[in-house]
Amino acid sequence: MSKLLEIKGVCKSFPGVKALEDIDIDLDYGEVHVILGENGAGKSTLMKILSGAYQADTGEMFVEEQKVLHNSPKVSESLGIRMIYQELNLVEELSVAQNIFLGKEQYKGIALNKKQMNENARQMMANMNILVDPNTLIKDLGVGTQQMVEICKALSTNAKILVFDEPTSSLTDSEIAELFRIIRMLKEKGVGMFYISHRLEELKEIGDRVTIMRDGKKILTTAADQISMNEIIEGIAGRKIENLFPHTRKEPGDCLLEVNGLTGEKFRNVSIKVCAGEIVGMSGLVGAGRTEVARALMGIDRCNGGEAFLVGKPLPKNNIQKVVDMGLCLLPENRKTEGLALSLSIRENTIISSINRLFPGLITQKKKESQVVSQYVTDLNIATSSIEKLVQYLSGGTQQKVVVAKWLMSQSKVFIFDEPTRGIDVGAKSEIYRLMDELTKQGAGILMISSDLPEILGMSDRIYVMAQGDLVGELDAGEATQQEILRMAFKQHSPAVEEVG
Amino acid sequence: MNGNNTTVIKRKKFKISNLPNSTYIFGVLFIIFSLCIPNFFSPSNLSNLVVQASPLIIISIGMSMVIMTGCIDLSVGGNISMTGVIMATLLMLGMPAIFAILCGLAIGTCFGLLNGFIVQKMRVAPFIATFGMMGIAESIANIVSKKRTVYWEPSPTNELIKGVQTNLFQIQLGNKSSQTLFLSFITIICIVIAVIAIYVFKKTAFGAHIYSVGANEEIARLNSISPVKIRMAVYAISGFLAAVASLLYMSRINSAQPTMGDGLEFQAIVAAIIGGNSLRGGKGSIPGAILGALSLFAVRNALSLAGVGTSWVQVFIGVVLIVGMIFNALVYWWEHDRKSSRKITVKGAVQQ
Amino acid sequence: MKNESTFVKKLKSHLFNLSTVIIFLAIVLIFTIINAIGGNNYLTLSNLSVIVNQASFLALLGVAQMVVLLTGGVNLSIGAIMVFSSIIAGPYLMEQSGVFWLLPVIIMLIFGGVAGGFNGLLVTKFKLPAFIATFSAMYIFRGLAWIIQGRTVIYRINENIRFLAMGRLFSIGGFTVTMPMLISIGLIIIISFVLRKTTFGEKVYFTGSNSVAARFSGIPIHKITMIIHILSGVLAGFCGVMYAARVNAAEPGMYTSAHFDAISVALIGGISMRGGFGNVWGVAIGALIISTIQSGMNSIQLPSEYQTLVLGVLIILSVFFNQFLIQAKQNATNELSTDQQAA
Repeated sequence: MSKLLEIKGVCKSFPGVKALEDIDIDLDYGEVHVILGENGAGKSTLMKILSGAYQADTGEMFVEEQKVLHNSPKVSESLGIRMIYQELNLVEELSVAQNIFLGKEQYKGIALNKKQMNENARQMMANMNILVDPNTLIKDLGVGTQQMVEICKALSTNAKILVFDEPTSSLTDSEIAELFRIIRMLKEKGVGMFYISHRLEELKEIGDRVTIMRDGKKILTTAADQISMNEIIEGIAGRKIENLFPHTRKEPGDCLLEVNGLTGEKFRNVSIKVCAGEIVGMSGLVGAGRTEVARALMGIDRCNGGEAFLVGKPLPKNNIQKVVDMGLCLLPENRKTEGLALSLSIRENTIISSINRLFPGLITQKKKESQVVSQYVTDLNIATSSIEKLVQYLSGGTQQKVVVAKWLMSQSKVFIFDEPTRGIDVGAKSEIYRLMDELTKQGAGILMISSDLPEILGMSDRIYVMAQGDLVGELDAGEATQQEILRMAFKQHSPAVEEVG
Repeated sequence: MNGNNTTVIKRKKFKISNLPNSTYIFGVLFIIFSLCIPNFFSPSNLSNLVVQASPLIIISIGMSMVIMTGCIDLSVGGNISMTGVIMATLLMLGMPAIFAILCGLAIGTCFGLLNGFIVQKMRVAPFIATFGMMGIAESIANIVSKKRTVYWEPSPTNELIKGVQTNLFQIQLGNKSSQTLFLSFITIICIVIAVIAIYVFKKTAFGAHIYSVGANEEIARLNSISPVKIRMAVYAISGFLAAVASLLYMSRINSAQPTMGDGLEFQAIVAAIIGGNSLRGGKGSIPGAILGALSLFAVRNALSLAGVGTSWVQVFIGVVLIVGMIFNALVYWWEHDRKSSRKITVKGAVQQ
Repeated sequence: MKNESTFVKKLKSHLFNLSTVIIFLAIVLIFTIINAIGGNNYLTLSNLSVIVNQASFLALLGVAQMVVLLTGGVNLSIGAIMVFSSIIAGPYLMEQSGVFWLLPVIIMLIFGGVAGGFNGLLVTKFKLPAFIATFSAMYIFRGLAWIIQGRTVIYRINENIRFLAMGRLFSIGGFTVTMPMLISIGLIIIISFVLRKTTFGEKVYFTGSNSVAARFSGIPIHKITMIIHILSGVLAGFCGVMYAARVNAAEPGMYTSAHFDAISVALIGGISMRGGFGNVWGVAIGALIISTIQSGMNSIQLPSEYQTLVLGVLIILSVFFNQFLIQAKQNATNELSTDQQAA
């Protein structure tokens, strides 16, 4: 039987990063092809090339033996390729039927043929064994059902190839089971599917074949039932690059941050400790509640119970200013929207959290500001021609350093890094790591939230693992392995699936 | 897992809490005023109330469409003054009424299109673009009218204008003048426009497309809906409806003033917002805006019947808006808090 | 990278910086030429002093608006606050009341601040968009002014207060220096100092540029927004003093286009509505541009009705071009610094 889709020798580079290197991948009719890999392994880039959002630098693509010449979103749509995104693309205030037929409504005379559309929508949903009133508004549906509507919408236009991008990240177990039922049904109809996921157990559940990617390269492609969990985890993680992580382990000093039984909306009973000179890793799947813990500690979000101490003093709740003044700081994952004022200069961004201390008399002196900022710019090796350069013109790594400089200057004692190296190229990464090491040498404590396992293992002294809002384990970095962390992170997630499988 | 598992999701039944906020606001105000203010609940006053509210209802319909796409139209009031003055001047010069009306409607629509052009093609933020256009329209109104009220001589050629404000019928329900129920052509025009607007919104794809552009431009584009076309269209509609409102105004007062539209854009925004529109776009309803406009005029009417000065009315409208916005926010939070429990979830095969 | 010499880039960078100044000079030139054709001399010192005098008042109005725009908000209630505070202080404003002239001025500043605080409260505590909050406030405060004052007019303002708005100090070769000029220059210097040389100013710019990052950095953004709204109210109250003094009267219906003028001045002066961009001197030039247009149109006998028309067009065009100018300016500065780095 011929292949539904074949991609040969695809390469794609972005400025400074080689995102994809010589990728071959194919898809059969009625097959679920699972693609695994860490963040930044190139999965999303590959799928964006498939959907025409990106153009490949080199390589060929065939759909049903026909070569696709200039792929674009329009072309890929006409070829029957559909993406089901993580973030749903539905209009909340419209009904199920209106969403399915959005932009391709059926008319009878001058009025919409609502009856027909409702009937068709009902039928389509019924084909997936979901009897839903097509007049129901999307906002009244659960996320799982919304996803079904999205699939239905894709199918309404004769989709041959579906791409699921982390479809289960926001679903409950029963919703996942429902999704898998529909995926099996689609398989029988001959629809080919790429399935991107972080959740390894799903692979065994629905995957036919699996491809593992790492650093923009394809590591292997094999039948799903011929590979063990351990092989997969090794494949995803790869070898450690030892010298990338310069952290020198030493005896931890005094306890700086102590959290007892912190409970919030998305996490429960979290107790952690960060000592001076220590880098504490916090691992877990996306959505495990790690960022929420950090936000609650900072006083950004409300928390329902528990307490936290910084150097013995209780941290106030819902008062960011006090928390910052006491010496706890957060370097958010989303630097551009939460960390920096892009239209202002390096100087203004660096000085902002320290101006009260530097200028208690309210009146600033630009000369003093420049001196202090220049000092930090030199110390942190921030590559810029002038401290008056606007931060929007800096690279991701340099921007991150500006945020570090800001908190260093404000004499923070504990730094919470949320995904410190996401979107930063390898060279800048090691600089950030060296910086973190330098911070601990000066007696600071670091809590590092990261989904990047090598980073967690390479940099941390101790590792906490979170899963679905619970702290499920604490490991000493010397003994921890990627396999162990992954097993813990998946621990709470599996029962429902095991029950079925 | 067996194959005949089905998930049944029934649509939520009609619920009073799903109505736009303006429904309750109007309901409560109406009952209070009827009970407390003599003469409020009389046939002639209610007929009159609808006539007074008609222009505002009409522009609120246009305004709520614009707001649903995530934009705003501050130039409506200026547009009313401008088209009114132009139509009145044409009548004054002895032009036939039908010509004047068509000119007015065409100018109003073009003005709306120009708003759409500046917002969508020149990428000027809607607030600033229509704010500037408001100044331009007010200025044109002043220039054309030379800052004076424009009158016209009644003549056979402009009887049409007079016809707009005549009553289709009057029913004497008692022997007092307050017991006259009447239906003016102004009311009929308003009802016709409201019906057409609701029809187009519900029965064609236009409504759904407006929602999708307002909720997320990206989704609209993915579904081959052009945000540019939709926004140009709603601005043009808003401009057209402003011209219609202007026609109703000037036929009622038999003249046109260069200031007659001042502040109306604000009242239309108030009506749309207490009618459930969000300034972020993507939600709201036309009936909600209509009831919002009626609520505002119920307040005005009742306050004037009760002998409260017009000054208080201004304060009151400002307060109504603030309270309405806070009320909307509270409803939003309340819904948001209960969202997880309220959502209909798939009953999965595993649990069955 | 384009093959431009550093000199050209430097020049470009400076030109973009001076864009509003260039527009101003161009407008002066246009009216000079038009007047010259008609045989009139437009560019006289006395005429210039009239322009600057008029601009002084507009600049005050623009600064009141600008401080709010900097934080990413807007204040549509400036005119209403002006009226409200003058009506409150009305009895003491009049010559016949006989109270010390500073008393009504202080009352007006206080009530302006209270009204601004009301705006700030709606924005920070009730989370209303600034546009809606101040739009309602515009109705509420003007309505209150009508309720208090009714259809009567406060007439004959205290001479000492009138001196603030009308006082001529001395003449330098036809250019008369007036009180409003000194007051607004003084105020601009103060505000410029507050925004550029104090910790508060840095926080204002940071909040306007990215309020989330500001919050995460430990800036009390609600407090900053509140103070800015109060400041805007106080400045509006002061504008009320100046306006009442100039027209020698106060009544609830006066100067209904104040919010329009205020936004025009600020936007033409290069303030971005998205917040965090622009400076007070831009506002001063914005005010000069508008007053030049007004006086220029007077000089060629265009009726005042046309002025709003021209302002409307200018607002739209200046925002339209500012989008490019800001971007081009930042790019030029960036290229320049990159070159220096390479050198």
